[in-house]
Amino acid sequence: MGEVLLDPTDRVDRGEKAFAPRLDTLAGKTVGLLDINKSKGVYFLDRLEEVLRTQYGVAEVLRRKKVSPGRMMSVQVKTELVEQCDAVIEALSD
Amino acid sequence: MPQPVSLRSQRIQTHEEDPVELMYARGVTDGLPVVPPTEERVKRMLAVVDRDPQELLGTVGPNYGRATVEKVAINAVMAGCHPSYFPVVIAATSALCDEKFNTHALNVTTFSATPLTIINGPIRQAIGVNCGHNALGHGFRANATIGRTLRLLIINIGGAKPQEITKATMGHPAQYTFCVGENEEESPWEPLHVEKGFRPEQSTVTLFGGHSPFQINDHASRTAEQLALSIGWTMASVWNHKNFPLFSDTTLIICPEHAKTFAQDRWSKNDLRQFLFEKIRKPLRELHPGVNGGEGAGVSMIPLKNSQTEPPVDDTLFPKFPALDSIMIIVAGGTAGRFSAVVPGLARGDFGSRITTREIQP
Repeated sequence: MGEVLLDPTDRVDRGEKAFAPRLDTLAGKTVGLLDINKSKGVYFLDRLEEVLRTQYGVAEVLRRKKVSPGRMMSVQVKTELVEQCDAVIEALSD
Repeated sequence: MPQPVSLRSQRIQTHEEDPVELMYARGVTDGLPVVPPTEERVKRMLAVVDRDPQELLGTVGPNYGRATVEKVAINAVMAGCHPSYFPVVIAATSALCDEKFNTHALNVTTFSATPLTIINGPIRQAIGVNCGHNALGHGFRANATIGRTLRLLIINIGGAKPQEITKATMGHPAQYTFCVGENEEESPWEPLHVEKGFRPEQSTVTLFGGHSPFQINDHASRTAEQLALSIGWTMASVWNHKNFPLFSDTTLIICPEHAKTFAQDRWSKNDLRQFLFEKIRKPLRELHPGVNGGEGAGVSMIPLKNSQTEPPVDDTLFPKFPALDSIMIIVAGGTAGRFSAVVPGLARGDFGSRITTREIQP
């Protein structure tokens, strides 16, 4: 007989999450840009938005920002991105 | 008669295999072997506190797993804690779960921050927390295993595994364990917990989200001002020598001999803080990106462009430390030697991590 040990983990089964299906095209879509709030990230995201609109025909860009890179996005931001966007890019620069 | 304790954690039956190896195989260690958490050992840990094992102390980031008293006891056993340390572990876990401390941030950043646990009050002597020679080093069970318990909780409850969720670029040895007692007996100043409003006879844990410690060697300064300049300009290089001001809090651990030098000139902790804040400054011309390195980010972060403030010019002096209260000072270490230490912090305030203190309930 061996020993009986106790599991030290919280056993929260978060499972494997599947990726959402890829979009066929960005044309006419709404794309969310989540700024994680690193310094100067806004310059990168401004350019990214421009590229999405002019080169890929993205119809709307929804810009949202986290309070800090080290905190999760708020429920409100998450809900808006999920409900209003066809795709979301979580973006950072430093 | 105490009620029999009922534990709810899943049982892991071992057979022929070595239980130490089994725990490695389950990915629940920090890389060092753990003490197998048998029911008997966990119950001995739980027996020293009058708490329901299912009481929720909080959730541990980054995955926000549930830290019940039972789960904390299991991890404390694995870390090697003596049961007498468990009240300290409970208080430290409560601080670890405080959103203001933000364990999530500590463990998802590339920065390599880890909780530095500082213990104050009479519990230090009661359980043998080392505050003297080798205070930040090896050799003392309480320091080694209390600090290690927090790391195991972050792994096993918080879900932070390196190269998976945890993306620390470099990491550092204090991530295994980082726990120190303040050497209150050799300090000329009020101890940290009294500064924070607790009575001397209370015991506390304080968590600071910190980097690896860096020793500051000064054997020659004989006045408080000389020593403060020596320590301050060495601290000026943390994060990067161009990061003026820092975005972070900073912990300064003063050794007893250095503390005596400050005390002989009647400097308080606040005098030292004020001096560091006022004197450790550099002009903007030395902080531009490209001057002695490409970095130079600190200046861009402070709000200068408003109607009340003139834009900075090359002679404008910028402080290393963003605020007086960004410098936390304790005394620790042995009575021989003039080596203090600085522990750089993760970003401060709501943006990052706030220093968090809890009373240790007996």
